[in-house]
Amino acid sequence: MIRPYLRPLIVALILLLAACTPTTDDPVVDEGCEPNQIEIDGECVTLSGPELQLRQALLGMATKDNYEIDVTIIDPASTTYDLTIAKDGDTSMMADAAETIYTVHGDTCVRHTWLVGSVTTETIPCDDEPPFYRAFTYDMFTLSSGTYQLNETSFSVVEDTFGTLLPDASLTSLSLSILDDAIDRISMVFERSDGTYTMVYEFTRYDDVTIVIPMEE
Amino acid sequence: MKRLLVTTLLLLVVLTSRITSVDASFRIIEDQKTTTYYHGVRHTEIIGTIDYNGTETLQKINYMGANPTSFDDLNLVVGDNYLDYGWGMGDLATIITNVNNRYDNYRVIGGVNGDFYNMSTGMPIEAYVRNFEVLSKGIDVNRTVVGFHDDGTVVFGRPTWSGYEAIVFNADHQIKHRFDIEAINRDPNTEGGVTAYFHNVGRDIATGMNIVVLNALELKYDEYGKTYFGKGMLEQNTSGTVTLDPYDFALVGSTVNDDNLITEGDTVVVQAKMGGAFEGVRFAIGAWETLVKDGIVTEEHTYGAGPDVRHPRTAIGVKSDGTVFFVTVDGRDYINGYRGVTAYELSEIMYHFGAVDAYNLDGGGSTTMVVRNDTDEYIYLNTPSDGQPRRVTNGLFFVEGEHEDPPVTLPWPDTRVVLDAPSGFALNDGVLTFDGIPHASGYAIDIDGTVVSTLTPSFQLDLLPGLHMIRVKAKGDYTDYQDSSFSDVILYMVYTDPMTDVIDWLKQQAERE
Repeated sequence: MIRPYLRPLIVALILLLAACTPTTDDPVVDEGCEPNQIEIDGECVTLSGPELQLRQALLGMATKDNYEIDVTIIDPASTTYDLTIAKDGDTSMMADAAETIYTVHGDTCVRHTWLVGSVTTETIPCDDEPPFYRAFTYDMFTLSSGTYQLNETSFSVVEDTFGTLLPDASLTSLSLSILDDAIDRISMVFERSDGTYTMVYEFTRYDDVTIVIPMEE
Repeated sequence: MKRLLVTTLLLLVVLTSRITSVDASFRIIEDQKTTTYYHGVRHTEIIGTIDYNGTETLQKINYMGANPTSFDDLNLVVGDNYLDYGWGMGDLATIITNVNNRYDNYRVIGGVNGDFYNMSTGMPIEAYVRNFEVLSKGIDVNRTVVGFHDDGTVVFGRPTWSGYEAIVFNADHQIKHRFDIEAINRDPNTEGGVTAYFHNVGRDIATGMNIVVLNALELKYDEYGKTYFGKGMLEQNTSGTVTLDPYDFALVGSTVNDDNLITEGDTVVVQAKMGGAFEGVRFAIGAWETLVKDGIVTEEHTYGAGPDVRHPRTAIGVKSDGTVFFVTVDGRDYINGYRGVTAYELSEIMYHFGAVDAYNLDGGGSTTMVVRNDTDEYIYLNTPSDGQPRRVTNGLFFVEGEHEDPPVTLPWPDTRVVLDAPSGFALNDGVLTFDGIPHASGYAIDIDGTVVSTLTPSFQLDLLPGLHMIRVKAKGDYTDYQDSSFSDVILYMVYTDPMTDVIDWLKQQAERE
């Protein structure tokens, strides 16, 4: 038989645990503000639904460490190039039709370049810069026809990132779509003297990637 | 009486000396003469009158000559328009296209029509050798054959024929082994002998011996069984009854291929065995009347294509310094008055141009001469008497380009050590490197199906944008070490310059993940 003072104690404990354990459905909210608000300079600012969703997705993306990115590039000659980027914790990978490069991040960073039957391993300086899309913030974008368009006022913020992508090219548009708490797709269009380049990042297989670095045969 | 006798005797001496004179009088009176050099080959056109023993006729003569003994990249080849299974005919322009398509290392400069032929089937009358393959030994008419050695020298005469032989080539076109063929279309009579069967045997092969059936890539034989040529690849080894289909031929013998000489990927050639002065010629073609021999003009033409009759004619001659030249003389052109020449007049023309040896080729409507001009068009230099170029059996051509090395002969049985296939590949800035293989004499690199050679385990790839497939094997020598197998395929993606920047950027982004 439970002693009488124990029942209220158990109820209080349950309530305390419920209050402290966030669920995945709960939006990340700033303390003191409403769920559809964020704190800016001590003020609670109300976000629109789309702004909030984008913010949630970008913040959620920051917590992701396992996914695949299918990259498609189309050059002015309409030639299509397909590559794959993947992340599995501390290991990342990029593969094109011919070679696969694995990078293992740790106290030191190691690159394994795989070329049929042979692997070249080298220690490289760790690049602490994040991928370009992790610099996005919700206020750089405006929802238009179901996708988020990078505001022109924010082009200069990202153009440095793209500086070596296509020298002498100009970013003309960047659109982003989200799915739940992550990015689904980023489409970019660049104009260069020789024509238009299109690059699409499609994010897939969240939490479903296992990267195994092959051993040399 | 005495005076009458002396006069009669003197008269007889004069008359007989005129009939048996070794010095026919001949001259060319040139009205127009034009000389042009096309890609190092001299062409001269002469329009004028020839005076042969007082008979004057208007002629149009074309001369084309060069010295293949002086230049490695100027050679003589033969060409044709033959079907894979059988013969065929083509005008000279078609034959030239075939030569240019068949060989990566030759490009035709110009030439003439060749041998006489069966005008129904296109089969040449005499022997025909194309890049060491003896497609025909002729139909036993014992005419002259003209052979061309790799050093540019020409041989005229009759080859020595000693039956047939089989030559087995590996996939690299190296000779694994060659052996005599005892006979055609019957079983061997000798211990260990091998014979060859062709479809015209007209019955099954039921011998109880080993039968190696070869699926033919090329077949040439005549309906009378005078000459045979077969080139094919292994279809089956059996010892049962075989019905050859029209595109097969077979080797038969009690022990044939017991040693596994012929395997998948090998090519087997069965051909007449040619020797004497013609052993080792790369190309050969049939000719007929002797026009000049050892510097002496033929006095009496007792055979040939109407030697006393005027025809358009084609001839080949060789000078003492090794210069080879072709001559065509137009004829049957009653509008312009070019009536053609007799064999006697042609002999004098060839001697006039400096031939120490000269032979008649097919003439009449077949007489054609073509050259590639300075704008790379092939043009007819003479006027064929049919009113258009005739479809002929074959032709002789000057080409620019060096001969490929003759096939190497490997030891048989091949007990050479097989080299290891290369590994340890790396690609940096377009340079392919790999681990060297001990005892390798070099390496063969297969890039998208085209094989290049390198002496060292390093090769600069200079490829167009796109995905490329590369394999490498170590090359052995011909005595102790065999080539390795090819490595696994290496995929190499070459990007355009802008895309190289994109890829490098993506690699950086991937490393930041």
